[in-house]
Amino acid sequence: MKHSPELPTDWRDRMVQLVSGQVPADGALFAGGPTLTPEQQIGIYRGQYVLRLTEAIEDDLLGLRALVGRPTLHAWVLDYLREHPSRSWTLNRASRGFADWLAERDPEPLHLEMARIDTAVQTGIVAAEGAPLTLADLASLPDLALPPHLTLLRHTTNAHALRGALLTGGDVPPTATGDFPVAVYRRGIAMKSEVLDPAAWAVLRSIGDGLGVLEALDGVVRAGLVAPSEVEGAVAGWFRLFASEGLVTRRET
Amino acid sequence: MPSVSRFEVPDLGIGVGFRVPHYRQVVDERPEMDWFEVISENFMVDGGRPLHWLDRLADAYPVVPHGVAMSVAGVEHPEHTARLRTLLDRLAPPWFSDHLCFTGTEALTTHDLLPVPYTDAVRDHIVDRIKRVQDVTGRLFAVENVSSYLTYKASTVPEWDFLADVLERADCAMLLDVNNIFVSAQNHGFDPAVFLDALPHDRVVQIHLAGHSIKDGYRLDTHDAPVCDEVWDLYAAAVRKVGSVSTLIEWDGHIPTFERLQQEARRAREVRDEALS
Repeated sequence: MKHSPELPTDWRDRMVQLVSGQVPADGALFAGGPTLTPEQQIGIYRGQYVLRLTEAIEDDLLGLRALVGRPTLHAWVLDYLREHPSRSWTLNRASRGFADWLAERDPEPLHLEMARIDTAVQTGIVAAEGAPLTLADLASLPDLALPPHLTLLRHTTNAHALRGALLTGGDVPPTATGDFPVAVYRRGIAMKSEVLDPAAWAVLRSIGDGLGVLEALDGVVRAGLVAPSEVEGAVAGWFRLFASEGLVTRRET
Repeated sequence: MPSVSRFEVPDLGIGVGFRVPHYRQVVDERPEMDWFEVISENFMVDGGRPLHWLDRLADAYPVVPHGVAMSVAGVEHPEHTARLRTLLDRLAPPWFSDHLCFTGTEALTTHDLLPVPYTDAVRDHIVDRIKRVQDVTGRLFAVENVSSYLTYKASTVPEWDFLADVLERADCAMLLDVNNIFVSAQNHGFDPAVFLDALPHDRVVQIHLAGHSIKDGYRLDTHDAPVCDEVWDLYAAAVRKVGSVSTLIEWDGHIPTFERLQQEARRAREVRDEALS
């Protein structure tokens, strides 16, 4: 077979630059074939790279795609991919930085918040369970943590409600603005996006920040989210919710 | 005479890839199928949906993990290795597999199965990586030939000689992808029979079959169509050489009904039985 013995030591770097389009298509490394030139050969891989990555990222952003349409999302994803090529071994993480990337581009709040819910859903689908606790467990005031599948979002739009309707073909509600304390979490194998009572959301946020339960409750009282005289009654309802929906777990020591 | 495997692995029969549109049907109805292959990386996660389905699948069928991200000609990702080991411990498969390729560098992952230059230095790197992954996991590894659309000027031997050399030096098994041989043969102008003849047949523990697409001037390994007649013929030729080894049909795009996959599996069984008769 015809060959040149010289293989550049940086052939891997050169290949990924060629495949990802970071450098112009150059056939210097390649032999060509019966029907394709060296440039056409590497061109096949360049095309496949864009297809594979954009498809994977767009498939993770289902709510945003339904909201803005495929062409708009595709254009964004192409820009994102150019600036944030994948470094992970798993394609499942390729979209993880998209919402932060979008945030730097002064997007409409609804678009950004939809992207954040999409990201939280993708994260939650493959996250560890976090052993659920019963009400009795909670009564003993153990050190609590948030389960890995839960993401807390503080939104200014009802993106969560729109997403559900857009993806299921239901009646899409009008866009609303306001204060939406959202929890995105997994129950069984289903992902849920729910608006919580602001005080319950704040308790969860404090637990997520590493505070103990009593400190977390104290915080919501001091913030005026619940009156001191009503906290005892409210706590029962919040903890019933946390237990039934698996929103807290025991902190691992 | 077909070869006798040097590895003590079972012939699992004819299987198909476990794909999302069929998860619920397969797990709930347990349709007729000898075994399933799963894409390893889709299940190398902490929990949630993928493992929910995987555990139920493994309750009902033999399952073999097949990876796409080990990148044996590239750098090792320690997290990948650790998670792979966890998955293998969960499934305890008779072997596991990935491709003879590289997928990227520390700076960028292409998530593609890029062909490698066939040189001594690259061979030695791959052999070291395969030995290590077999050591770390304590399980038999099968390396798969990829379909390719380019060849390197720097290659010093043809793919089949390179592959045979890797298999012997790494002392590992082979996942023989018949469709990949055909696609590469068409793209590079070699005789697939020469490729088949050159392999150490007693190292083949599994065969892959798939469909591909005909593009302008080349064939693309798309896994989105039935197996074509030429690949069925090549499969029969392969079976006559490697004997009765587990066969798996890959169908990843335009995924048909499970019943259509069962049809394709039945055809594979007929071709295999006839080749061995």
